[in-house]
Amino acid sequence: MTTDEGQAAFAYYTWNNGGGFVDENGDWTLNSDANVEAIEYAIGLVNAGYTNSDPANNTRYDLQDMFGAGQIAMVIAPNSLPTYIADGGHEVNFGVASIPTNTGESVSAGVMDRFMCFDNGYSEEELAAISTFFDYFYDDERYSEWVLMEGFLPATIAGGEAVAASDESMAAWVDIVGSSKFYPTAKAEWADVKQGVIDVEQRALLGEDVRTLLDELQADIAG
Amino acid sequence: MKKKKILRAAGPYIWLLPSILLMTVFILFPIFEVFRTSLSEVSKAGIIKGFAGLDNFTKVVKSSTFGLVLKNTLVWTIVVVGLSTLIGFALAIVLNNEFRGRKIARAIVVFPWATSLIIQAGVWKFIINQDYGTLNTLLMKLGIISGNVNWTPTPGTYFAWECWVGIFVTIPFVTFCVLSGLQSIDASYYESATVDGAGFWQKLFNITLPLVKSSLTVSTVLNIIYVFNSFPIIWTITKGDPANRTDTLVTYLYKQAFYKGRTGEAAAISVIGFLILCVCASVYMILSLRKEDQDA
Repeated sequence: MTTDEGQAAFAYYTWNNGGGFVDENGDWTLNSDANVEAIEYAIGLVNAGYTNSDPANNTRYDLQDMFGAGQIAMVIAPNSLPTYIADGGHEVNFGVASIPTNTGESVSAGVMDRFMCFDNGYSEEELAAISTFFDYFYDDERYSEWVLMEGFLPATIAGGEAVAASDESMAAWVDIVGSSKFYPTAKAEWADVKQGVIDVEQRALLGEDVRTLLDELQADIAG
Repeated sequence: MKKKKILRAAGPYIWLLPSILLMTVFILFPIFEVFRTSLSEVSKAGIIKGFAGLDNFTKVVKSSTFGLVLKNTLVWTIVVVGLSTLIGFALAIVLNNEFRGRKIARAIVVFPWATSLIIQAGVWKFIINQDYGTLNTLLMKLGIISGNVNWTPTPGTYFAWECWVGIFVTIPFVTFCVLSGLQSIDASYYESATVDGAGFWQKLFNITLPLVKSSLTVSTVLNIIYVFNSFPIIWTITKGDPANRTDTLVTYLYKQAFYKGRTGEAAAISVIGFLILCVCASVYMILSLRKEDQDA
């Protein structure tokens, strides 16, 4: 729930309670009942002492270090966790499981880089050149090589098979790619929403009412 | 003859030209740009879209967070400058006395100053952490506590720790400013005062303080500016969290500019801070220099 990554906590808890940032039409639904319930539940976990003591300030790196040192039992972490723990000089036996859910269908938070072409009124020839580039890049063999080199999770089935085959521990991560949702970063209000939900979490940690805070944020963003 | 006269008259200005050019490029132009941005409508990408009048200032001042952040900034500046000046002054008096190991003691006082602020703040954040901090570990090993203590249970205590780190890193500067002033005081003043029967406090208030006042004025004005604008300590320890409770104007404006893309509002906050600093520093300097003239 930190200034840098608190939107991830919001995403995990709301998505896995059937809520989220937007509805199927792409409209903001920050103060939905599912969101209010999810954030109240998350704050309840903190207040009951089930989590790290200072979620507004502990970064994921603090938590990953503590997890690697065997000091905490469970973390939500990205697929770089095994490397991070090994680089930190720690040795800990752990397993990977999907995010707990209240809806029967676990959702992970995906972060992706995008190839983008601006709509500049390209000619047929130019559009064909763009297609050729993408076909070349996403060629199964070439893309699999690229994915293995970068260490990211793949966006194609062939890439997923290559990653799972190359490293047994990555297979569990590849399995969850299909259940990932992504932040609505293409919407113009995203920067304000991101900081807004973090502010809601932090103020809720200080004792303010979650519904009132989310109502205010929704009114501020969606008008 | 006339040409020579003109050259002679222009001489000083030619020598001043490089400094003036540097000041214009690196000081005046950025200040002008900040003022211009604060009065402009700026897109999320940082492109100036036109004149916005005082819109950015109105938005900033109307926000409920601004009052809280301004209060934090004033508390932060007054507490850090005030206490570091008091402690630094006392330390300078101690270090001005002859004693064994004085050189080593002076070198040790410089350490916090010589270390990067980010490192200092990072180390203190590590010391006070409830879960793995060294303060808890040390106290547990000494048998003083039996379980981890939460040293930062509220935003207020977090802010108090940040103030302490600010004081800790500011003390050396004050100490050395005052020490340089103390070393320029002729020992005969104290000898005469001692002969006249003056005690420690009388010598302190009637000799030491008046004679180191100019050094203290310099260190205080510079500290007000440095501390008011200080970013690394708060950013490293809390990033202004939770919910802006430990933000000062500088960390707040950084978030507005680089987390929310509100460059115009960030520039407005910067201008407000600049004006507050100008007023505070000027008032302090005028008051202290006027008093100095009266004393003289």
